[in-house]
Amino acid sequence: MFKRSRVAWKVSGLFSAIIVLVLAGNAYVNSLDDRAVALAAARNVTRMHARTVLHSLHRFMTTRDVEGISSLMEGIAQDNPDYKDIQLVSHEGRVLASFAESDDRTIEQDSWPCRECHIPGQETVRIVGEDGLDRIVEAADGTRALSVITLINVGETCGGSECHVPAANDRPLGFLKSDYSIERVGDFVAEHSFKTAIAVLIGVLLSMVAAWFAIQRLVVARIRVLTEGIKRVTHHDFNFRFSGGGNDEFAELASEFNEMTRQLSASVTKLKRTREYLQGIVEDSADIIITVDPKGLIRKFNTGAERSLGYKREEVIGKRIEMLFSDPRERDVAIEQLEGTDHVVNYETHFLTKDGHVRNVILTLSRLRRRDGTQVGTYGISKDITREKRLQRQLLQSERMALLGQALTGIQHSVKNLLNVLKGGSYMVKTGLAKDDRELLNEGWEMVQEGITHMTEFSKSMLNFAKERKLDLSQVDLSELLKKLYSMSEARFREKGVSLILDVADDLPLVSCDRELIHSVVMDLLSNSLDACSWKEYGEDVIPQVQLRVRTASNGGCIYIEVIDNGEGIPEEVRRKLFTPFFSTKKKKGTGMGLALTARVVSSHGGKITVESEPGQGATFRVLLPISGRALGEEEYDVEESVGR
Amino acid sequence: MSKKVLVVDDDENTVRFLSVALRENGYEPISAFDGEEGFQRVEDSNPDLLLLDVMMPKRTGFVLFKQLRRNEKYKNIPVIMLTAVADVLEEDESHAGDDTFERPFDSLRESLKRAIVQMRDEGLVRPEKFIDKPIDPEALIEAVKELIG
Repeated sequence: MFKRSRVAWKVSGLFSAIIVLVLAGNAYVNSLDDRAVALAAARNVTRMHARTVLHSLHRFMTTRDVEGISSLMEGIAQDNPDYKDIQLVSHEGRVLASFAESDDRTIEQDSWPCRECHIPGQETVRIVGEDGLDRIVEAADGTRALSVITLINVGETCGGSECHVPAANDRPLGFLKSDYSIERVGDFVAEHSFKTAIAVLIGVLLSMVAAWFAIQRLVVARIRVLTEGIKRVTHHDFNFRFSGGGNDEFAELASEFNEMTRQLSASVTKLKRTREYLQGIVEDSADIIITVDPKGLIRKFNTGAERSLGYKREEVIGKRIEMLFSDPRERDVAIEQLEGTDHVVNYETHFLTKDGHVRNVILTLSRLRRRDGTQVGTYGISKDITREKRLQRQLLQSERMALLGQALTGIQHSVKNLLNVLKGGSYMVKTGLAKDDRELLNEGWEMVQEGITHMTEFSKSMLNFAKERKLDLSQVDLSELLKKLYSMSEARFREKGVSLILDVADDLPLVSCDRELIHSVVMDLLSNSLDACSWKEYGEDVIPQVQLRVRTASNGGCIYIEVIDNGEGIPEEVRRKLFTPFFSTKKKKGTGMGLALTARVVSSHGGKITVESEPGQGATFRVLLPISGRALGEEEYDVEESVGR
Repeated sequence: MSKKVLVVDDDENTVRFLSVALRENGYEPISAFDGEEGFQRVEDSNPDLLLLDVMMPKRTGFVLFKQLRRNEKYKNIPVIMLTAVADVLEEDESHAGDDTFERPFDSLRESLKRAIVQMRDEGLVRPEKFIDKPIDPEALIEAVKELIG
């Protein structure tokens, strides 16, 4: 209660202190006044009595009745007990009359009051006013008294020179000295001061109490309500409103406070909704969202993370993030990448679930910073791709199996054809032996040998295919190479009734490539085209022909070699399998390796091979080779427009 | 007079040893190396039986076969098809789709199947026999004997 009312105490205390100061000052000034008033009263009384005495003095003087004067003085003293003494003193300092018993019947010339008018050693006399002199003196008994001197001059009534020496005109005859005790003045002042003090004290106490109550009621109680309100607002109770009217500053404050609370409530509600919305996004995301503080401790762990990793958030919050990585070094790598960029995007890593399974995830890591740039941890969103990875592996596996299946069927096909020759040959050998027909025997044996040769070639080509050959690059003059190739093949084409046309541009640049491999690539393509022509039934007016064309692409980055035939063409389903190893539509010489190898050689040069065909109309094989020997960007191979057809 | 058997195959070796086997068993072999030539030989030799390879230049075996079957004059000549994919053709059709992986010869098999279906739709008699490569000469002679004695 007292503690609570500190303000009331302080304010009323201060208020009281001010009142005390004012009243005390006032009392002091009053006491001075009192004193002056008391002294003036004493002075007036004394002078009044002195005038009475003086008035009577003429009569007594005429009768020389000193006794009469003394009794008059005694009478006055009896009526006014405050008189210490009243003395009639002659100019010479002799005490002529006194009512007090005293041995001292003279007054020294160099003492008060003589020195008031007479300066020692000089005859100069100071003229004292009508009212005479007064002074506070200390009486013989130690009490203080107001000593009032009334001069007795030669009065007009006396007639002056008639009975006195004329020289006495400007000279007093003596004086009347009245000592009036002022002990009662001190008492009066003290008593007055005491009463004032009591009054002041009571007044101060009363005003203090009044002030306390007023402050309590007007200020403290309302401050207390305000404090309560702020407390409730602090504890997020925004329903609190100040009630009660009034039009003072408090009412204004209360109304402002209510407005503030209302706006705060609206803002907080909005903020809460936004936070809930954002939290909902984070919380309910199927992705794994984890935040980590700068010490590496897990701070947030969403539902997606719980679902994927099997932990409840209570189990991991505050634990080290490394526990979630199947290999913590993978995290170190990601953090290292984070140093430079503040982001690591799509980092493939592995998490460990609670029951020890490894999950494949793609992690996107960002640094969490405050507005001022201080780091407050990291924020990771991970997508669980375990299932996709498994499917990918399965797909890869099945693709591999499919390729293997294709290869095996292809090999089986080739082997069947080769075996056919061997079987036939051995049948002829057997028959030749049985009939002792040497010619048949030889013929059969040749066939067997041929079969063996084909078999050897076939296995060689399989090996070649399996073996990665290192490119032996040099600057090759393709036009020279192709001209040579043309002169080698021309006869073979003519033999089969196919015309071979060479069309090489004059301005071919040197191309960085493996001469031997490119030679065999073109050779294979020519053989294919020759076969395609010899397989086709041509009409009377059509000449089977194969055209070998070489050009620099318009962008200058690569050259293309085209082998264009007007043979039987390639059906769509065959075209799709064209570059698959061991696929062959030809049973005898075909190993099914030619185009597969060709495609590989071309791609190892950074080039590209394409085929266009319309069944019955022919086919165009196009090999694009980068001049530099290095692979080009995808768009640089796009030379369709530049290839004049 | 011995019966004439026309062997049409672009592989010389096959033609050669089949001819030997036929001759050894009392048949008169005639040979042709592509579909076009095969048809000419049918016309000018009038063979009793055809051994017909499928994959051949200038008219495949099937083209030639259909040509013969459509021709009133030749449609009754028995034909033995020689093919490396005969095993596939002779599979039970209900199992045709059971293959896990597409094989490069599926397209070949499909085109053969299409050809057979087409022939059936046309009312053509399918080849009397399919013989798979590698050809066993003895088995082939058996088949020939079965067809033409």
